[in-house]
Amino acid sequence: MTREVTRPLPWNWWLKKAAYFQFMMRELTSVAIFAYTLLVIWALWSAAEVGAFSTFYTFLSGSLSVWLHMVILGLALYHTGTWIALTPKVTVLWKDDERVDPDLIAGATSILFLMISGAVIWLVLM
Amino acid sequence: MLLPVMVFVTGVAVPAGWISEEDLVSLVRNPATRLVLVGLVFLFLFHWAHRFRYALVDLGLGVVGKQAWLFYGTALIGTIVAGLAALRL
Amino acid sequence: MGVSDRTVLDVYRYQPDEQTEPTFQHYEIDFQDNWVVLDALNHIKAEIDPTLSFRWSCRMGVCGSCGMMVNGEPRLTCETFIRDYDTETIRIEPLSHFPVIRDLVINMDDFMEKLPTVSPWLIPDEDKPLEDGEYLQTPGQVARYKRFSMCINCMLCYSACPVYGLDSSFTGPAVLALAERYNLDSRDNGVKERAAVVTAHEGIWQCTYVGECTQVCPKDVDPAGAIQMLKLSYALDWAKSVVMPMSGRS
Repeated sequence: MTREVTRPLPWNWWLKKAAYFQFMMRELTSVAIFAYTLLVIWALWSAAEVGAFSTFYTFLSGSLSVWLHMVILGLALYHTGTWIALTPKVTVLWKDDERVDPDLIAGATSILFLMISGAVIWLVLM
Repeated sequence: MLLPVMVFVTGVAVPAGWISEEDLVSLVRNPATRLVLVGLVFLFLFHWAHRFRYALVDLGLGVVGKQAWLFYGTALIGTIVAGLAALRL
Repeated sequence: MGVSDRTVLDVYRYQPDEQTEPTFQHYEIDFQDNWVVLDALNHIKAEIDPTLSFRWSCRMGVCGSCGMMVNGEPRLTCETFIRDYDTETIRIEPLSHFPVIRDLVINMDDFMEKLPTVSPWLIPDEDKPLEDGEYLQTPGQVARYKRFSMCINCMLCYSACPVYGLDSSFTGPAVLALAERYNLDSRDNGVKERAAVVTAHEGIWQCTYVGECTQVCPKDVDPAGAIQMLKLSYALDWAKSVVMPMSGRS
């Protein structure tokens, strides 16, 4: 038996190639989701009392909140966008033995995303 | 899917004054909204727990089995807290 | 054509009988415009240094044996033209994530052991007697799995996969893509039989979808897509079995 060399993956592998880095960012931006969930829980919790909800509302209007929201919005859009781009990989549709164009599926998902977003804004602001 | 638009509502529409406090509180108090929000908390948290756990594994920082309970446990507790909060009304 | 130019190949060397640590050796060579990296390696072995070891066979991107890291990217060296590299040196290393036996030769035992675990052959409902003829398919039925059947087992995808690099118990891209190739085949009914290996943690669920396996594949197999399709179809099967426990096999 000859001696073989093994080459373990270096810890910074994800910094060595743009595609690896983009992957890691996609995964790490899920932290933004976690942060935002805490805010939603706060909203639910405080809604029971008018005073507590005022505190929550005032916080939302403050500049700290706006900055946090901008960061989260950026990360959330990146996270959502990358996942939408992956949908045609999972949803492989066939029409009369021809594969439906993956870009069409990604496009349809994007439109669905915009429609849902629009519907929510309409519901909330009406 | 819904996260960006929600961030838009609380992060842009509220500070811009498009939604008054009364409107927002009645919206959050609406039983249908509460159900949806708790459902979203559940989905968001478990999505985060799963992605973040594997991100740490891919960074070489974790053994898959051992830390699993930590992330999914956090997600579960968060969902329960959200559920209780929704029932407080 | 035929224009000659000069470049330096920076080649990974490991001679287990003489070295304890691998080193890099520089070979300055004149190359023709139509040379691929494999031509340069053969030139070195024939004219400069006969001790250099590497695998190759067909020279035309079919056999899958000449995969190496070229400037850090997993490539088939028979399809990688030297003229496309404007770097001062071209760095040639054995495929990453695999143990190195000697120079550019890797140990592929792990891959070879995993290959048969997903039963990559047709598992028909019932074996027809020979005189009943072939199992026929329409062109559409072939199209469903065709792209996943183009794999030449070159293992570039394993070299591109950080999940495999981190933990070699992962079944890996090519083998899982092959499982989906047979799962999608209309003549096959082995979905359930493959489930144990495919849906184990070391199977599809360990994949975090970095997606580089698909990028480096010289045959456009799209293993990343295959694995996500497997995740969806096995998750749906599982959901069905929860909702309708009595329905049994699909």
